[in-house]
Amino acid sequence: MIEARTRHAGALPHPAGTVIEVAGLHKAYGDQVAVEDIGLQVRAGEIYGLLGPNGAGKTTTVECIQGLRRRSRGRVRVLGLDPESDGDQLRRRTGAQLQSSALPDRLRVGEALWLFARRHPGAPPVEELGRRWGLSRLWRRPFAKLSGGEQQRLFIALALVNRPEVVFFDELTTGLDPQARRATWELVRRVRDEGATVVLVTHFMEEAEQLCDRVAIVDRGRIVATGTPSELVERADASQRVTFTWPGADAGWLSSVAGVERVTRRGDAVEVAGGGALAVEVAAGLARRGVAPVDFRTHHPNLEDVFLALTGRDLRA
Amino acid sequence: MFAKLAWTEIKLGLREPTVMVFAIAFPLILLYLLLNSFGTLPDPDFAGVSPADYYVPAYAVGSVVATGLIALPVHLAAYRERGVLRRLRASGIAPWSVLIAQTLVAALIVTAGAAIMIALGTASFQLSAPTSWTVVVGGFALATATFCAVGVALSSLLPTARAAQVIGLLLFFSMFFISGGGPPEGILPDGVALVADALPMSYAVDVLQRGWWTGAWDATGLAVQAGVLVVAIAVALRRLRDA
Repeated sequence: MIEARTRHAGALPHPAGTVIEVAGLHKAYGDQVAVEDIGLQVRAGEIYGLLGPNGAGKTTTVECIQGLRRRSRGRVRVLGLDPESDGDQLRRRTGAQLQSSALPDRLRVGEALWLFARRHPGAPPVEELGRRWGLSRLWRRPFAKLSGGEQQRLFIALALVNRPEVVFFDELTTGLDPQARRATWELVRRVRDEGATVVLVTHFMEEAEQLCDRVAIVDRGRIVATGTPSELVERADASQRVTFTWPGADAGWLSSVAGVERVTRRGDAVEVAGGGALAVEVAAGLARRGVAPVDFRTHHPNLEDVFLALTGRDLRA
Repeated sequence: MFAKLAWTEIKLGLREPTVMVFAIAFPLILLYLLLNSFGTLPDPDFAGVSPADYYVPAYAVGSVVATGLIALPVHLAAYRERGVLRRLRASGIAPWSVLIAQTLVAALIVTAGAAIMIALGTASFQLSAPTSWTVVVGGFALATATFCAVGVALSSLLPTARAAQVIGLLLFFSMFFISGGGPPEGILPDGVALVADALPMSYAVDVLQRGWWTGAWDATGLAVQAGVLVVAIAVALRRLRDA
């Protein structure tokens, strides 16, 4: 649903609940096309993900949406504003954590919050923000001495310093260990729960699946699919798999179990693929035969399989 | 808001002063060595003035050039390279305000450096007072603006802090010793003097020395620096707009 061309730029009514609208977005550097015909709508209060491999054009897309890059053509509105002509006004109402950005090494946590808070008279006091994001203890620590997780926490706090309506996170958890990553996801959920709309750029399938209400899968500068993670998985029609070890000779009965489409044996390792209630049916069959393999595992298709199905390539490649 | 940024930059500059200190300390140490070797008597080789009257204005400009061509571009290129400028811009802090804040810090530091040089010359080497403070201060301010603008332009052209450092040092040393930091103009070989005439630092030194000795404005020196200043600002604006 794309808003009809309007008479003047600037704040204009937009479809209720839509905070970001992008249509026909192109960005080229010389002959190099980075983003081609991207269109998307982000609704108020959701976590919207842009998922794709490195170099797919995700960052270029969000930087055009934020007005940090000039688009070659296309239409972009954020909160009804054009990020190129109303960038200043827009930046007061949005927050951003950028991919591969940094602060001066010797800038201290408290100073960074103080510096970035300067423009936003309605914003909460920086000390409160620091407390809320667990930065009080680090108040006088220089940026260079922060751990990866602490730096990201600071960047999140800086993105929120103006109580923004829309927040952009670009590869927020890249380089973090799994524990810090999970903690960061919790922070992102908190941002949304406090009322902001979140746009999340990531190349981690699991991150998109865990966090996003809706996801756009980006590949080679284009959006190849959009939907909720479960819709995307369903639509891609990738099959479930069950794997286990079974030394028994006769596995013929497996092919006739409800939902089973394919049985593969490699020595004692068995892989059964199919749909429906596959896992339960197979488990029941095994139980009836008095077999209980300890390594019985079910594999549900995920966004990685979706990406593979849509592009024929591996997301991790 | 700009005050906040400038204050932050000053604090950061004080916390990590190495590059800035080099830009002041290097000319200061050389100046001390030279003045110790040449004594305090007026000399025809030094345009008829004392070595201190010759070298203090030249080295004050030297520290301005070192700051503008080395310290400033290294600092700003590092900001650009590491994404600091982008981070600030995403929060509505324009890159130019960072550049101006840094230029302000540089101006404070070169002023401190010049004050130290004047104090040293006056205390130990019979430096005369400038004939016209107006011309000296004005000329110093113009030189600072010009070389800081060149530094900002350089930082916008060079991709990394390392490149900025190498190019900055090259540019600095290629002009420093023939534009007033080395042998006086009068005893330079003709060919070298001709090269010196093509370098902007020579003009900044001319303005300061002329003002110091005679109190007159050196029109050519002012015009050349103004030209360099305009070109540097144009380059920086163009590059930063596209950044």
